[in-house]
Amino acid sequence: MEMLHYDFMQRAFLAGALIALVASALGVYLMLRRQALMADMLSHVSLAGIAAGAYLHWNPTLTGFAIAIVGAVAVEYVRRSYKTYSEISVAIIMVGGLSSAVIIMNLNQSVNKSFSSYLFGSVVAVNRTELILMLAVSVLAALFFILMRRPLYQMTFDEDTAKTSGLPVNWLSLAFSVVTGMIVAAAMPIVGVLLVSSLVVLPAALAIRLASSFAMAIGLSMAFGLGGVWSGLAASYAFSTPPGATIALILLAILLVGIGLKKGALRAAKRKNRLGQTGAAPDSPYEAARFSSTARVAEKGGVARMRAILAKAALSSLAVSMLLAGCGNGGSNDDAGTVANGDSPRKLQVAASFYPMYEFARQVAGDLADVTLMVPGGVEPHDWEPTPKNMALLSKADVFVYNGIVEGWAEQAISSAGSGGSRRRRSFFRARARDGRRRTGG
Amino acid sequence: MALVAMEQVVFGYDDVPSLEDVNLEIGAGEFVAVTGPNGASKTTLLRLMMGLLAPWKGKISLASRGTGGGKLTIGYVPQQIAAFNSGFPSSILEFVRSGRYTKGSWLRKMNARDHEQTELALKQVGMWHLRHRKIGELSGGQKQRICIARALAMEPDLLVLDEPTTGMDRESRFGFYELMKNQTEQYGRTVVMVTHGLDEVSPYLDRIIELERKEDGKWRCCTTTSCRGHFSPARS
Repeated sequence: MEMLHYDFMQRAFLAGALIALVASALGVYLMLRRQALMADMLSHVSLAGIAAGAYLHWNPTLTGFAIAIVGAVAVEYVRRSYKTYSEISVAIIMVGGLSSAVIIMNLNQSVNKSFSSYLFGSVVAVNRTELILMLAVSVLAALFFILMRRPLYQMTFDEDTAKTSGLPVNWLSLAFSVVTGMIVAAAMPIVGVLLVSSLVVLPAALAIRLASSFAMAIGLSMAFGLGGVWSGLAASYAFSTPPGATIALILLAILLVGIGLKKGALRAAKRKNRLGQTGAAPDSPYEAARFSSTARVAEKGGVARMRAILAKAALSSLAVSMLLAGCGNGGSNDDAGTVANGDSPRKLQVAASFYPMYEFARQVAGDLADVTLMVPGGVEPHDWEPTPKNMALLSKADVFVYNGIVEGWAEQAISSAGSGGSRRRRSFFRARARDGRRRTGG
Repeated sequence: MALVAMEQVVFGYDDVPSLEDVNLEIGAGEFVAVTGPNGASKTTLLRLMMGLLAPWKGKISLASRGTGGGKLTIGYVPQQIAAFNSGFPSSILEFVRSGRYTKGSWLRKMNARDHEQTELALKQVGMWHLRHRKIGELSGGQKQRICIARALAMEPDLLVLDEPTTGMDRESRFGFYELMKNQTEQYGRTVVMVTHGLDEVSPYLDRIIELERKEDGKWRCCTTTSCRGHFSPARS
């Protein structure tokens, strides 16, 4: 559990768990309401909010959050005028959001620098504001899902019968959309705009296939979501892969394995039947399935049906994710070697962002410090995203040397890696002063 | 007192009126069939009745209190193919029990009466033995039955059924008519049902509401025929 010693990893695990739980529960409702693409669409729309926030020098996280909610409400109204084709509303709003995002981004060329962190997520660089936002959203969403579970069940099955049974369906549907917008906006830092639907749709897609009751579908979906996010984080730490994409791939793997297991179990059951397993004769549906105006309620009766196959499938996919999480811990041990220890005087640990910064730091430090390069050679430092390994390096470093203009990811990485942890005093050197940047920028 | 009353109601989709000059009254405890050719706006009439659609003109009044004095409960069974969410991951028991959700607060615990009514409803439609099955695995006729069961579990004052006998075999249909008649007689519930099988059901009915074209061939209006006593099944 070495990776859990880092503050940023603890935050990533916590944030990931919160969002995984609410997003995968949300996914079940969205899928059943034929709105599976809504998460994808809202995340694209909230890009417009992020772009606007960056352009107006407001907090892009908050403007993105606000626009996601506005988009969700807009979908609700468009959906009412295209009742039978609810996916059309998704296309309409997505065009509006994405096109305005691109135009706003274009107004200010310097804005699109840090966009890759929104596009692909940077869960290891989650900062305190984002964490608080996620916490608030998950508490609110959890309350909504728990308190409204019965009305939501009725509305999700069929809006007309829900309406005639006296539910305020329009209000409930609007509230549901707002909650959806909030969850999507809060989930974006974890897997990024492009992969938000992995977190929302994939766990639900498997859970719906496996579950034999609605409560079970929600529970399974949450378990798959949590397992996927945690094992994705662990794998990303172990193999130094980008966390967002790793999480998405693992969720996809869970889905495929789960569907495969279910198919296998069904086939096995079929073969068993063919081999002439007599067993108990099934109730004759013709005899029993009769309308009866004289039916009475009995004290006790009926047969309990075994759901062992489903439970087994769910357990094994959870086990797979645990196994992956285990891999993560084992693989990360080699990391401990980067900090000098023993009786030899400890060298200064310096992290440098890209090659020129690395060279500069090495020339200054000579053999008094260990300088490590973060962005590998040949990689565009704009688009590069820190992996958990890099964040670990950054959090161990005494000094971080970076340019400050080129690395859109740097500020967030520093704030995420720098708080707490080893409590060592750290310095961050920027190669160029702030006013210098302004001059060159203009 | 009438449970449902419509006066001079006009309604249409887009800008063409499809129902005009509709006047009708349905009293508590009646078993009423709505009939008419395809496209005669039968479903529209039901939806107007329940307040799912608002009329262009005219007045529709629906009693706010049921026969028991509580808030009026409507059990609605839509046309099956159009409304049933087959992929829904739910057991039959869970689904029929959801009919009880509207009784009282959203958060209350399910009590003995809820379980009792759920069981009774499932037994009335002959689906109790399959209660642990997933609703997606059922055949069309079985899906229809559990939708009816959910409406029955609500202990509704008004049962509204849109072509409930589609896909039922002859024996089931008669069992179903018997059950509906029993609902009106034993519990004083009102049953409104869209059907094409008037010949079979009319001996059970109190009244028939017929939608037909007016002389100018454009609009449809409503006539009601009383069945009780002098209606012969051979009328058609």
